[in-house]
Amino acid sequence: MLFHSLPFLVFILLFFAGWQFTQKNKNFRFFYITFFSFFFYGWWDWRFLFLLIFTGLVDFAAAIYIEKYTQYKKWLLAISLGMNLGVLGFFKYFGFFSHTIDSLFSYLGFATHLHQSVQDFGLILPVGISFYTFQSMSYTIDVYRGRLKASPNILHFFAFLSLFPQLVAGPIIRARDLLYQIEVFKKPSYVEIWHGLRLIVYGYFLKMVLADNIAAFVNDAFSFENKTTSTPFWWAATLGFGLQIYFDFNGYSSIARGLAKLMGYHFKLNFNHPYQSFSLKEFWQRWHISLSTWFRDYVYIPLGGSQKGKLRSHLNMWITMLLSGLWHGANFTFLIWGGLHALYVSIERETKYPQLLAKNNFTKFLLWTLVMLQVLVAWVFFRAESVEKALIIMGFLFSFSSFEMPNMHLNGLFWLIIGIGVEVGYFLSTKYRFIRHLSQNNWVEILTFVMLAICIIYFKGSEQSFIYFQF
Amino acid sequence: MGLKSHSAKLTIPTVTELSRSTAFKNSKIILFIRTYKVSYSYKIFLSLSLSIVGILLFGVCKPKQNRSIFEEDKFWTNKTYNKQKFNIVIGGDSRTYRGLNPAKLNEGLADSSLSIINMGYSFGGFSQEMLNLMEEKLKKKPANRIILLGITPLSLTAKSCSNKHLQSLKQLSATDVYLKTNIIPRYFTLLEPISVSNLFQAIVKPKVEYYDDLKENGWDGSYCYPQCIAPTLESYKLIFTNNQVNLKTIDTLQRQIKKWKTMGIKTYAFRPPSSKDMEEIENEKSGFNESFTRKKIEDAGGIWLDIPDRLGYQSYDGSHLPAEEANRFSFELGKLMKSNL
Repeated sequence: MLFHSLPFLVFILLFFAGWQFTQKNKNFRFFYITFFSFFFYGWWDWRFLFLLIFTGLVDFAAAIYIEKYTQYKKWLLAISLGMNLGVLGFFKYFGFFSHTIDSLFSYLGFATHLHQSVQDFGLILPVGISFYTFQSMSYTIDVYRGRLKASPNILHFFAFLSLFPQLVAGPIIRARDLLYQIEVFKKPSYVEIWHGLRLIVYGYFLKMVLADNIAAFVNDAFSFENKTTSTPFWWAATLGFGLQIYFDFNGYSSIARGLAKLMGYHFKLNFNHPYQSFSLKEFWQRWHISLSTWFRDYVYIPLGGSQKGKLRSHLNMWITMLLSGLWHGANFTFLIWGGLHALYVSIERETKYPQLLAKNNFTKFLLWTLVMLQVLVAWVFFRAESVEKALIIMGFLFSFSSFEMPNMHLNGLFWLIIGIGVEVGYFLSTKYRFIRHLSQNNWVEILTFVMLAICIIYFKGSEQSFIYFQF
Repeated sequence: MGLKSHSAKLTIPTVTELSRSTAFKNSKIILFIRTYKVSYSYKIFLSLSLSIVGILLFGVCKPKQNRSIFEEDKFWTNKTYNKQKFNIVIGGDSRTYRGLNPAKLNEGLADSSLSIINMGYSFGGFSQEMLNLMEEKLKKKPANRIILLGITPLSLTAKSCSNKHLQSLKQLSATDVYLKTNIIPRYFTLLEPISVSNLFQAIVKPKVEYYDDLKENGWDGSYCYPQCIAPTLESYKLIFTNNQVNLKTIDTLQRQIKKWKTMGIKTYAFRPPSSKDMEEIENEKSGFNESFTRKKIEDAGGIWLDIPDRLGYQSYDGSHLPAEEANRFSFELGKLMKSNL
């Protein structure tokens, strides 16, 4: 069920109605979390539950046996990773690879029908599969590395794996951050309840008001409804998508964090105003932090990180970025998106231009503009339906052949401007103390809460599912 | 000064003296009130209660909209998921669902025993999926079973045959269907969303106002004031770029009509009225050949209905008929069908 649906509202009321009764018995608490989380996940499609349970059981057992039979721990880890990646590969990538192989062989004059052999169920992408498989893999890897003790309690493990606020679209929570939290019942203080509610309202505002309203404009643009080649229009559409995906995903993460706070749990920040970065390195420290740190810890560092020489460091970074692109989707556009970011980071590392240019406010502004340009160009590939369409849009962005502005979604543009205003407001609050103090004033906080709540009810855009659900 | 008690040396302080005393100020009650006022529980209570008040107040004060999002959702969801079966099922795109009122069609047919549903969709195309959906809505034998197709050039293009509108409706879960048709339009009208542009239009009179009267029979009695013909015609000049009438769609239609004929289902087809300028654009830019399409349908066993004075109807935007004209057209079409039954 979507976070912004009536069934979810009923679900959450029922969950918190009984949450207090899990205080005394931790097994009952684990069961309670698992039951509600399974119900939440099964609401989409009850068949997906079998996959979640199966992968969970394999990893639970693998972790225990890794600790028990250390001489076989490499094999056990290989089984766990192989199973997780196998499941992910089958449901997410088999269609893509089979189609690519068929196209390649067809080009060479051979007819293979690999794609047709994929069973119908193999073309269904279980919701959240990329998230919970990564979460589960981090558990077994950390046990293998000796950084975490395997949980002997299967309910405890499933409560961690399936915890509903983050199950289908992250943030990807590490076992060592969450397992110990759910072991104890921590009654949230009023401060935590207040911050939790604020996060939830803020998250719904970002998603339902900003992202969903901007989406109508962006979707029309990228489906080429307007048939315009206007450069300003396409930059507005690209910026629109950049903000849409940010507000959509940040909104979901905020709601997840807020719900966790109400349960007394703490999820780390997943987005830290990435569009206020002055380098691509900084951008990746602020964007989808849980995923980028996952790739850093479980792909980049094991490959050697930056410890094996300059060339190897670049290679490791490229592999990590390409895999990150592929994680987002089974399409060459996502690979190109990852590749572009790898290129940007490589150039940054070699030239060190962010450090050289960050001399004064003017050069910092130029730096920021450069970072934004690079990120927006990459988003074109992320959003476009095909490489061909992405290249057409790139042409529009840089041709400057037309400056006419066609009929545009006034509603979408209005909320795009408001969204920019939200980010600018945050930036100003970091620069000017009086703005920071003003935003922390009790009445300002209360009135902001009320206004956001009104906007969520009355100014929400037409329903769009969370973008990251497709991953 | 306080009152002196005669019976003892105890002095009873006045209220004023009491309120000024340090003891009173430090009393637990005052401490609680003071700390509560800056406490987080107070903030939570105030935020939630003011939010509820604000939401209700806004709901009451917000301007009325010409188009209700909840009613629209109910209209489309009901059309797609209604389990009722009908004698006559009408199919097509927006020109059909706005231009054909089943109630008036029935009057023209002069047979009140026939039940009719308008299954037109926005940007609707005659894909196999759409044709199957129309067939599902028909009553089982031995009832009178008729399919009525509003053939526009756009409905025969590949883009329309992707039927995005229908696809989005098919994604709804059973819970969503129930909520959209029963709960939300009935109990949540106060909380109906409004777009910023609609809010703005309530303050500043819009240049063009649209009205919709959504009926359970699948018809949308629409109107636009003042007429907005030029922009629509301009958009139609572009709509057929890389999106011509698809011969495969006509073949699909032909095969289906033949199949329906063997099943005892009569098929009627017509070109919905729009405007002279629109037909010129369509004939020139869409690749549509009316006589060719008509022949294909007739060869398959369908009946083509020649609309008398097709260009004599007044459209509000060059493409769609306003409610009164749609009623007039529906009645005439009914009479025409009756003469062909």
